[in-house]
Parts: sequence; structure tokens; C-alpha cells
Amino acid sequence: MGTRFELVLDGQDATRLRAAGEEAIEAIEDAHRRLSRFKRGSIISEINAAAGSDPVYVDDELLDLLGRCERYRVQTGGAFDIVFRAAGGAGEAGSEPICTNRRPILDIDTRRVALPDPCQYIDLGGVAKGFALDLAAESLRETGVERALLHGGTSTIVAIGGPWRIGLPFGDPPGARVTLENLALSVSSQHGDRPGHVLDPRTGKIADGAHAAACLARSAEQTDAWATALVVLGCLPESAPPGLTAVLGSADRGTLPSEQRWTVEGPHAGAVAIGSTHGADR
Amino acid sequence: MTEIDRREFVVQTAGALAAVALVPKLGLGSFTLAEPMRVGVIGLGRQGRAIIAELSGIEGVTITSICDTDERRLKSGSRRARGAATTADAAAIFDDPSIDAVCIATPTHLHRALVEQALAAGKHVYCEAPIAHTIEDCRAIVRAARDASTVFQPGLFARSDPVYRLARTFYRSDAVRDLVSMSAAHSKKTSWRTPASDPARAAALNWRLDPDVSTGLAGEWGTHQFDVFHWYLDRFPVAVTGRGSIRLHDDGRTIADTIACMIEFEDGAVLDYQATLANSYGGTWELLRGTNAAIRLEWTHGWLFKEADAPTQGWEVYANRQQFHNDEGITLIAGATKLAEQGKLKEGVGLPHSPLRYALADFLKSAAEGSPPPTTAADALRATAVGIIADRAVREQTTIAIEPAMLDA
Repeated sequence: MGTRFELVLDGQDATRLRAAGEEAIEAIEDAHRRLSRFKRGSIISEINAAAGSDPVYVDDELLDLLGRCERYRVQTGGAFDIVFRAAGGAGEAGSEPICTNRRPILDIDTRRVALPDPCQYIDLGGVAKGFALDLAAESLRETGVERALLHGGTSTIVAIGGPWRIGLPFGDPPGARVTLENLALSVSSQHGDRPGHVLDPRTGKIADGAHAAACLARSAEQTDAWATALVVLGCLPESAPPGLTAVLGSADRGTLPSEQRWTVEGPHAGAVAIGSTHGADR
Repeated sequence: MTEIDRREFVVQTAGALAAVALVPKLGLGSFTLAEPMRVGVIGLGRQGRAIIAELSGIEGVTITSICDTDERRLKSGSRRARGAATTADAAAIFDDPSIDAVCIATPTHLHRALVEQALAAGKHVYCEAPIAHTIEDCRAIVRAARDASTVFQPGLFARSDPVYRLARTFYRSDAVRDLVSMSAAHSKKTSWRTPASDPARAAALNWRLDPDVSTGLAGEWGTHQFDVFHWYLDRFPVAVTGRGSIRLHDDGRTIADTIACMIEFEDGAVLDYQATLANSYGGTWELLRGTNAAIRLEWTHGWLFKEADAPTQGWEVYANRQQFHNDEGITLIAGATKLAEQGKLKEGVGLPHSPLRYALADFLKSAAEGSPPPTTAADALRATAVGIIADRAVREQTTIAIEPAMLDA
């Protein structure tokens, strides 16, 4: 997933918290191994390698994830998508829009996935961090962790317990704080390290709906997908599911002031902090 | 996914699926079984869930039942195998005549009873390695496998791994020549603790830290790696010296989090084995140094490092190479000749699937076709026994002679 994940776990028993954190990190690493299109041996690279050819058999967890991604695509009117088409031909990542009449095929009954066009590929980059963080948060909750803050690349955050107060580097006024308690938050922006990296999947061009967007919901996977879509759309459409809150930055394409950064205030300083970096495989 | 979502997809995709069926096959047929197999998975920790994911990638496999005594793990397993029945009692799987095969990924000390019951019930059995926590239990498993009419395959991945198979052909050719020395390591910074909200469950889940049933790092990781050397050399150790201590996880445990073993073979060759839970550098690897070349293996990857005076072989001109500081490794690629013909040699670096997939595919093929598995119970007895003896040498900080009879059934 090309990013660093960090967990801050609040509690008394450091040994138990570390073990809980390790299991949560393992869930994230497992998601990375399975979902990264850059990782040879991942199920996504297997599907991409078979594009235009045989369907690939997958497990139900992945099938469900791909199904939910299709639901996000429909809800966002195509502003979020996981299927791309290589610009220069099969196996080469690019930015051209996909042929919308050639969708990936999910055969629920036989657990098969196929990409009809050999130039197509799946990239779960817009949703994998959230998916992994949801799994990690579930693991932590089930092992009795009552207060924790998890993030992937600082763009998606999950709060267990709380309240955790997060300062956004944009909004009206900029620097507005949101309070997270058992909620997830994702931000997406055209700025930062890679200006213009958010593309409109429908046109293949740089998205210009909003210069930045934040999204709050129960599921980090959902906020991850919608934050990207909101940068494309510029507003929360009526088709958005209930329980989703959006904070949008203006369409002004100016640079964010460098002094405006995330700020985090929690109930306590974390007892245990643990991290894992993914990115060496790209 | 909700039922509504699932229905939407079936409707949405029915036409397109027919179109894809006309496209020629890509060559993933090696994961297609001659006969459909119905499989149960027992033990749903990390390895059990990985087994479910890999089984799901094999055409012809239906995971019909999954089993664990931990409710949380059952739920997690169900996410990957939604249609499978869930049970906390493995007997429910053994008593189901429709189930052909079982995969066992429980704590090591529970393997023996489950393997014996499964084989007695007429199931094909894949059992994770180490196959047991005592040599006596290993021998009992070998006897049960010998008496069974079904297939038993231990989970020693290397013998099914295409990279390891290819590297072994080089090792046994003149490319490496005479063995100089061997090294192997497993490094991962982790506490080896499993969290549990219920303290009573914590004791059961943390069996690897229980000195009565744990085989330590030498058993849990070393077993897999020792088997590589047994297989390559076709010889077995005669003595092991162990050292171990707690370098990081000083939390009341007595099982060493860092170990070093010197494993000696009859002709004086030595395997230097190190494992730690206190540092992750290097991961898991094996190295064989010969007078003509060294082979380094890292599960999904392998390299050949030639000596300057080693004879040249024709294929090297076209080989893919990788620089490691001052050394240049020739990448060992399964099916390299074919890939080179297609101009796709570089794309072949690293396995396209997890080593576990190849091991499970071998097991199910053997079960479906009635052919012998690539790894036998006797292979697992020898590797596990060396792991158990090495663990004892670590605990006692001593040298233990390994008599051939200790590795026999």
C-alpha cells in the first residue's frame, strides 16, 4: 500500500497491548500481501495477470470487497473506481479511462473474478488502506482494546473509543477540528507530495471538484473510497449512503500553507505505539 | 456483501461471463484438480486463514467446513469461506462422509490426535509443520500415515516450491560443486503473544510460550528450514549445539526469543542457524555455499552467486541478474527457458503465487489422483525431530548427539 501504518493503543497492560497491536499490524500486512497490485503473489496481481483470459478463483472476503467497491462506484456515479486501463497496453499502468461497458466480472456462485480486457487492471489503492484499518480495528476491539487511534499514511484514521479531536489542514475556517469517537476519517487532496494525483476515473483527467475533502463514517473503507470520490465530485451527492459526513476544501487550486498540518488530541498519551511500513515492493 | 448486492452482481455480470469463456486459457491449469475435492480446515489462526485463501484459488476445491474452538477465529475464517459450516468440534468434520480432505493448522501439540482421527476416518490429511511437539508423537503420525489408504502430506513448503525445486537441481549439479558450509535464519520482531479478551483463553492461545508444549524457535521455524537441507543434501545431522536467551521480550517467559544453533553433519559440514523475535532484518532465508557457487533461498525468490573460477554454462548469458552490494546474483526463475523465449524473463522473478498454494495444490492433486505426495510423514519426522532436539539443546545450552535411530519411525 506504499505507506506507513501506525497504531496508538491506550491502556494499562503494555504486554497485552503490544500483542494486540501486533495482531492488528498482522491483519494490515496480510491485507497488503493479498491486495497490493505491485506485490507478486498477491491475489490482485494474479487477477491482473489473467486480464483478458481465464477468470481467477478467489476467496469470499476478496469477492465481498470487490462487490463493495462496485457499490461505491455506482453510488459515486463513477467518481470512485478500482478498474483502470493501461495506457500503453497490457500490464502497463496508465491513466486512460476504462471502457465502461466492459466491467470486471464477479461470479458470486463460483467465486470467480475476471477482467475482460487484457489492458485492464485492478488497483485497490483508493480503498485498501481503509479496508486494512477496519480489519485492524476489529481485531483490536475483539481483544479488549477500548481506546486506540490507527492511521494509514495519515490520510485515513480510525478512532476506537475517544473522544479524539483531529485538526484538519483545511475546511471553513481552515484548521477546523472534528471529534472522532468510534469513527473513521479519511482525507484526500490534490496537493501534498503528488499534486494532481487524483484522477477522475470517468475522464482520465485530473479531478477538479474540490482541492481537498474529508469524509467521516463508521467504516474506514467507506471513508477511504468516498474521500477520493469527493475530490472528484466536489459535493456529496444524493446517492451517498446515510451516516456519511463530508468536509470539503474549496476548488481553489492554491497550495495549502505548509504550517497547516494534522493535529491530534486524545484522551491520554498512548501506552503503546506500533508501526509498519509498506512500500518497498513498488 | 448483503444478499441484495450479490443479486445485483449476478444480474449485472451474467452476459459478460459468457464472453470471457471464449478467451483462451492463460496457463493457470496447474491449479485445477482432476476430481472436485471437498475440504475441511481445522485451526483458524493466521495459517488456517491463509490456507482458506489459498484453497479458494484452486479450481475444483470446495471448503465445506471450518473448525476452531475460538469464536473470534471462526468468524474471521467465515469471512473467507462464507458457505462453509462452522464448528468447534473437529469430530463433526471427521464424521462427515462428504468431506474428502482436511487441513490441520492447530497448535503443534494438538496435531497428533487430530491426524490420527482424520486418517482413521478415511480423510486425506494436510498437517502443518512441525507435525508434533514430541518425537514420540511424530512417530505415531508416521505410523498412522503408513497404515492409511489416504494421502498424508506435512506442511513443509520447500519441496513443493518451484524456486526451491529449481535451486535443488543446481545444487545437485556441478554448478555448486562441493559443499562448503550452510546458514539459515529466521528474523521477525514480534512478541509471539496472542491477545485474548478472556484470560482463560490467553493461556490456550499462547501455547508457543508454554515450555511444556512449545518447540521454541528451533522447532516452530527451524523445522521448515532444516528440511530444506535434508532434502538438498539427502543427509541428516549428527549433532546440534544450542544457545539461546531473551534479548527483548523480558515479560516472564522462559522460551528464548533469540537462538543460535550449530548443526553438524557427518562429513564435518556445519549448518549455522539463527532465529530471533527481537529483530526483523533479513527475514527468513537459507544459504548453501559450494566451491563453485552459493545458493541463497528466500521462499519466493532464489539466487545463484558464482565464483569467478567456476565453469561457464551457456544459459548464464541470458540470465536475469540482481546486484547485492559487491555480489551479483543470478535470479533463479522457474520456467526460465520458456519465459526467455517470450522475452518475459524479468517478469518471472519471484513466485506468482504463495509457496503455500503450491504445497496445497500438490496435496490435493495427490489426493485426487492417488499419487504419492512430494513430502512424506517420514520427511516431516526427521525435520521435526531435529527441530525438537535443537530446541532441547537451546534450553539446556548444550550439545546433543543425534543418533540415526532418533530420526527413524
